[in-house]
Amino acid sequence: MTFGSTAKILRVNLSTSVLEVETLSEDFYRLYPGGKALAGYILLNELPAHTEPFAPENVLVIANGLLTGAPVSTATRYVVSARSPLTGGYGESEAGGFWGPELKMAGFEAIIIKGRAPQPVYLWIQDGVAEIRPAEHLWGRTTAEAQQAIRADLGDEKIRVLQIGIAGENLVRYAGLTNDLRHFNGRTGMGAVMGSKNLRAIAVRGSQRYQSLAHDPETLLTLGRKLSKSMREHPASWDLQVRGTPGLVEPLNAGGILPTRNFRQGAFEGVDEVKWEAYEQQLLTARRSCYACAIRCKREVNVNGQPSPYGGPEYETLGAFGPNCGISDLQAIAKANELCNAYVLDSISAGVTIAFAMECFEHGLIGLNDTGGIDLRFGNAEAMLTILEQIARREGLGDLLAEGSKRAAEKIGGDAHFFAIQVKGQELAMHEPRGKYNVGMGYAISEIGADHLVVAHDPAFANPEAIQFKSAAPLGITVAQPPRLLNAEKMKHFYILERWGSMEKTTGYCFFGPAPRSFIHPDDVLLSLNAATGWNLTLDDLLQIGERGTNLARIFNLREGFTRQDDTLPERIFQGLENGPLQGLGLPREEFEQALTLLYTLKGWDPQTGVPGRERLESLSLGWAADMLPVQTRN
Amino acid sequence: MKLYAGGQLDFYLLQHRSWVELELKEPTRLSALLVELGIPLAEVHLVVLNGQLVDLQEVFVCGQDEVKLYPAVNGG
Ligand code: SF4
Repeated sequence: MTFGSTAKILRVNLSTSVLEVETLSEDFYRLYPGGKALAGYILLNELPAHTEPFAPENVLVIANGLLTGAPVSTATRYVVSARSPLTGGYGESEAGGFWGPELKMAGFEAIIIKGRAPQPVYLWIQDGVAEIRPAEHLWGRTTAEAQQAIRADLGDEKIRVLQIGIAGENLVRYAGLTNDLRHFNGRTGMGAVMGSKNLRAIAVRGSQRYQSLAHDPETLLTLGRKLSKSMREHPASWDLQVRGTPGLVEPLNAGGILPTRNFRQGAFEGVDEVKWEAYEQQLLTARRSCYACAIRCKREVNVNGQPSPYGGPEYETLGAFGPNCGISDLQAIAKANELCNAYVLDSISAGVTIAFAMECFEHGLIGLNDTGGIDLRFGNAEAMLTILEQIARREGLGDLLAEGSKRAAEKIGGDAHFFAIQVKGQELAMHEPRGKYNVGMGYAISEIGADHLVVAHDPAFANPEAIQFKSAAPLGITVAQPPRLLNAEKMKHFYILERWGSMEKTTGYCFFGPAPRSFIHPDDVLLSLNAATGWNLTLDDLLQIGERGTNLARIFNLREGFTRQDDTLPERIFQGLENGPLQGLGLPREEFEQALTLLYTLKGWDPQTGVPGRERLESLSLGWAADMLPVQTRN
Repeated sequence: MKLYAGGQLDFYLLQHRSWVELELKEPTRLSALLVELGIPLAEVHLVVLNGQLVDLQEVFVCGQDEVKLYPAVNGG
């Protein structure tokens, strides 16, 4: 028996309507214990290189982490992976909520979806049994309507629904998935891949309990209780409890690292209208949580005075539709959030792509003819909402912007490429890399394009006496470093934190659970996984699990033709910010290139090309993957 | 003076209040004041005095000053 796991994968072929259940061996699962590592293994082995993202042959993997559904705060996550229509490379997006735990309770670790249904369908899974059901009646409807219809169809209000919206149906390249209308797999366009398969939703219901899977359920329960208690007394999770991610707006603005007007500026004059106190007064109605999580960082809101059926805007959404579009109208931002939730668009890519269009408009690269008469300037909240609707429906200028800023810039031509703030085709999140260089390195090197959750952010490692810094010591981070520096020690931080973050994405932990970002000590992370599995893992083993996932994704991208030239940042980031405390300061290009070479070396990759070396791959039990590297890149 | 403890820094203040008002009879070193209030200096990443970023170790406060403190923000 594989403890800690149902050891079952559901295989779905939508072209043939064949459903199969596969059982994983313990030896296999120990190497690829769910989430990122499991998805990476499946994609490399089952998805031929250069498969068109919207072809039926693209493989959509939805994979729980090993610990997802355990009675431990923040062990809630699952990943969705496929070849990305936004980047053309490895696609991946994680979410929490209740759906992943419910899938495990229904008997599955993962679902592998291939083919394309001839008509819209949804998948219904209950306690080990799955069926494909018609979904024509759901097509074109908002997520709130579709969820209600599915629950009514199946006669159970407690069913958990993971679904796409009309943005996924319309193949918007940054369409996502949502579960329970408030937990998102936003990034890399996984919702568009699901839409291309004519799969609208996956409804699940399960009655198993994680404890029945665990090697040592008593220890797991005791740890879960201890963590729920200690979380309340821990400063690193305090702000998440009280404010949630919207609490980030003001501190980032004070430091001059709040992305403003398409990353031209780092400070926003309208910050008081969009910061937490305004959110609390104008929007907040309640606090909510993911499965068994004591932090409760999710927010419920009113929009324009009406209770919203969707969750409240997170920091990323506030930033992307607010300061980054020069908008301080909090109700309009909340409305944009609601539209992204109803249609399931990635709010980061949507907001940054609209900011890109605003800058193109202000520079005359697109005009009133292109916008259909909309005055698409920074600060125009009404224009932002109209364009967002158009993107989801692929109407008017929205059809071009639904392609993402990189493709749109190629079409527009001229200097438009300079205004596309993206890496590998995916737009930057609301974290200004000119104030935290390892976040910049994460944007550059991430296999999914610009991603802000590759490593815990630099400011936490600046003061040797700070709680977050000290909590990273068991991982090997012992020398504090300034945020605005790239040197060998910073690359050591990066290499450790990237593996740790990848381990979280594999085992199902939320970024807001474990240290150094939050309150769960690395020894308790280890204890939870050992209590679940009985494997006697060490912290080094956990870092190896993380490293396996990043190498699999790297090889996937190399196979698709990505090179070192893709591990870079938008030109604007190498230039100075226009305002705020960091005015005039850019990220130094030469230091960046030198640091990248150092980082490749630490990872056991060729220092010049970034191709993983066979020796390192074999030490990770990935010798088989070395043979998948394109012949000309092997070393 | 008025003091704002941003982010998780209100964790350390009585009743977790974000704002406190203090009567200062003379210019006082901010770092000493924070130690008295129970805010660990290592957790203070940015100090804004009357709208300007300043160095925590150097700054004195008094009278009508407004001080805003922010912790290191670690992503999300
Ligand atoms: S910290 Fe927030 S996002 Fe993470 S699992 Fe808990 S409630 Fe969900």
